[in-house]
Amino acid sequence: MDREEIERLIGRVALKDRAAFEGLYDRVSAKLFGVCLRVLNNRAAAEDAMQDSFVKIWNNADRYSANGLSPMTWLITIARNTSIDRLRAQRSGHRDVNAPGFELPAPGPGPEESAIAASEAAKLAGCLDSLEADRGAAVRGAYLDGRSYADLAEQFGIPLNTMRTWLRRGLIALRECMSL
Amino acid sequence: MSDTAQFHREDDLLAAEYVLGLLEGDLHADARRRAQEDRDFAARVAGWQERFAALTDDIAPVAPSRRQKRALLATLFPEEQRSVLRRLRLWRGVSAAAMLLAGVLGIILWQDASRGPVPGVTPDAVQVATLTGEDSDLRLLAVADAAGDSLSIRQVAGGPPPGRVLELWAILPDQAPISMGLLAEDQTTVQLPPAMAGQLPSITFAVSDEPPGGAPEGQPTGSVLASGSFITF
Repeated sequence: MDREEIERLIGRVALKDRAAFEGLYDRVSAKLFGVCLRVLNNRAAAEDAMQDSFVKIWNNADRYSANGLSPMTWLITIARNTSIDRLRAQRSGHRDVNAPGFELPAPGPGPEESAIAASEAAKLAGCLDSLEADRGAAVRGAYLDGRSYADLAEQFGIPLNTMRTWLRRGLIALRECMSL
Repeated sequence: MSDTAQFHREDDLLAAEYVLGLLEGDLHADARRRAQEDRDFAARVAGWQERFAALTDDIAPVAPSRRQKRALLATLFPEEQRSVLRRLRLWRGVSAAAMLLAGVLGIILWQDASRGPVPGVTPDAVQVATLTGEDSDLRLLAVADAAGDSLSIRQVAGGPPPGRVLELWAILPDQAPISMGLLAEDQTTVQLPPAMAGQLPSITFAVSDEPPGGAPEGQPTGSVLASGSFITF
């Protein structure tokens, strides 16, 4: 995926350029739909999540440049967060309007930091594999399946507090591995 | 480890937990606020977003249906006016079958007219249009009177979806559609406004499905089911 092209399209979408929006959709919708399907595992729900994601992309494209993420990370984060919010709403049987979602990526630091993060990101898979298998699975479970600490504690059969300590150790190890 | 390093590490872990969606209640609300307001914390959040996004690298792209794109665009851009024109442009290549139908009917009408000239009607000025669409089976035949300011429109095939009515629109190049009224089930006679009389060949006619009573705002809101232009025999 051509980073500069996607970045240019997002920039034009920020100016409410419809043709650019359709161009962006044509280029990235298959990837984002794949992400929504992976999280929600249901076509109809994934279609809704992707629709919501693109509405957010249209409405918030002007916030992209401030945020320093690579363009695909920004788009994928919107699709993933929107899908996770929907998944959790499904699980709890309702959408709790008072619970703050985290549907949009936070405004970030500017390009410099993200360049560092991007080079680290490339190492993620290898570093996850170097973690104890359970910790890697827990990180994936949280990111891709929207598991909470309580879900993970149940899954691994350990107390909630232990789960948090244990996963945080995994995150520290992950960070160290990726910074090397 | 120094207190500062300890502090940074704690922040970094909070940022990671926030990105993973593991924080709840006050911790989540607090992290969300800091991600907006605290530059250092926001940088940590962005860093983890970048790292964890790599977890989607293995996810294969899945092409969404074309219907989904249409639904998205309809949600974001409900002002139908432009998209009617866009869709019409796509459809301007009227199918060969429709042209043939128009031709045959035109000849029949022409023969009909030439059999016994009606006073005031010149037999060589028969103007006919077939209105068809790619995505519907609706077909209409429209015939203009000799002066080109009154149209008779007949439904040849298909009809409106249940609970909807058909509304006829006249569209001059680069102008918004103008309603020509609702279509009756069989045949409808439409009088063109004076501004359009004599411009028949440059008008595109389109039929959309609308709620009973017709489009409420005077612009099409439903799907364009059929369109076409007049040709002269």
